[in-house]
Amino acid sequence: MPDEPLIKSRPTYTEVSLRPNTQKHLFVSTAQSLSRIRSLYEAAPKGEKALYLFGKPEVTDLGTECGSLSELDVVINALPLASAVYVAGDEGFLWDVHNLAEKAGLASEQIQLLAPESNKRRLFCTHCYAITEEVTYSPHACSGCGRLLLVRDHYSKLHGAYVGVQINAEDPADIPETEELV
Amino acid sequence: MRMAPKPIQSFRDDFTYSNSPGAIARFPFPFPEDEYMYSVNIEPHVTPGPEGSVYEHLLDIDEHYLSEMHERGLVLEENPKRCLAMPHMDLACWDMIERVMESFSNDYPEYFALTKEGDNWTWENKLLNLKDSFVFGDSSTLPLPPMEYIGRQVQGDFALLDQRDGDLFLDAGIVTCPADWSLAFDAGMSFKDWHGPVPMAHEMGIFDRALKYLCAIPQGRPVRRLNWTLTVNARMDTSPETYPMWGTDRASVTPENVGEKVHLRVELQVLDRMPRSNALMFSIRTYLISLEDLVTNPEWAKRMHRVMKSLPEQLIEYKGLSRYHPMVVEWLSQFDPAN
Repeated sequence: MPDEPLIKSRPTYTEVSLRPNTQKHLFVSTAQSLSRIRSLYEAAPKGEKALYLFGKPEVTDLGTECGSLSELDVVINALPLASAVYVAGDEGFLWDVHNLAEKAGLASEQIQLLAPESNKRRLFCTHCYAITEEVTYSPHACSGCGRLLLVRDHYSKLHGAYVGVQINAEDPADIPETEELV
Repeated sequence: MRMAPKPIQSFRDDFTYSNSPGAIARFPFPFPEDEYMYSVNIEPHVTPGPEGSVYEHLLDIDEHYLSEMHERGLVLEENPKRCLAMPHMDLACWDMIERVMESFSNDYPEYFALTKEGDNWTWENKLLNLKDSFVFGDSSTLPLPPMEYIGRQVQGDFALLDQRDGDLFLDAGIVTCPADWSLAFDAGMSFKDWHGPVPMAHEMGIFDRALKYLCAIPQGRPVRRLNWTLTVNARMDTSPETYPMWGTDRASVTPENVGEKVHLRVELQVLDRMPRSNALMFSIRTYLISLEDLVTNPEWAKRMHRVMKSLPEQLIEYKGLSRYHPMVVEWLSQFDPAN
């Protein structure tokens, strides 16, 4: 079991397994995470599975390359009713795909997310609402307003992002040391 | 209404906001005991409550009505995203329009009037000099989107919570005077997710019990609770959005100005089941009182000191009081004979 997060909105990820009684198993993965989802994909019954990849994988004998989330949206909307979706990648990507699948009518138990492939976070600035991608340390400058943001553990699944709040708003001189995020 | 609206005062810049003696007398002081701890402090909101009190009507209007509506306008002008309604919440917004118009016109007939001919409604708000006719349920017949239209006429923040899968989701709201939470970020969250940052209460099982209770609220049986924090200056908009503007306020408190600058901020939260959408209307009505005004009531002064003195460190930190909390305790101690 993963450790209970201090902030309850932070998602936890459990072991992913093939869902029984499923017409179609759809695997969605970044190139980087292919090695982590590959054995699960191979274990799924032939003819009832598909793999969509984001980015160029080193191994090219597997899957279909998918250019964008909107392409994937078409694929997901064409799935039969009893389908299952498995997603691997960075955390923001996991929730983007999750939200797409949910919008297409899949129940949350039909969507399984592998633990994020890295500590890279998507950051939502509460001051200007800009998104900063691939944040690995805190505090971090906002890509929109430039303010130095404390990266908190409070998470929005809708935005697929953590919240960022200006760290020195009370005392401009008080800037703590940079810390690596986990 | 026993509290006639005063001319517009400000909740920013020069902070001209003030409470009359009548407003002080009816302030919803939130501490029933000398020590504060979280509890599921939810009770039935039975109306009419005591005459003239903040509990008399479903939604309380007071002398700050015009000031708060003006302030709401300023916030929305700066950032229109402080009001939000997901498309599936349209029906819930109309539920809210009905609930506000019905209760205002019944409870404050000198200021509000509603006439209906089938679905053709006419709404008059004499305080804001508004008179609009529209077709109930048809958003295209309103001058503004339904949430913003009604939200600009009612004191306090509002959220509409969609109920599904045994949970409540924050899918619509107008939030211009929050105690440090962002509607734009928290939009769409489940009940426990949007309370994610609250310390201690999750472990105490507060949110499990509260969620069960709230999901079971039937129509016509609203409930209420009080929540509180401290705010420096009479600032309504203590949102994360504007925190870069007000963060330094927290460093501006001194032993000399603490009574004037620090305000007790109390939220009267009311949850009411909507008839068509089954959403919960969640109103968060904020009252501000300076410590100076608060201590004019000796019982409040004494209790406030004891509550502040015994406040757990985690709550001091979470509520953002760390920089000035010791000064508050010290200043209040002069009103507590036990000290």
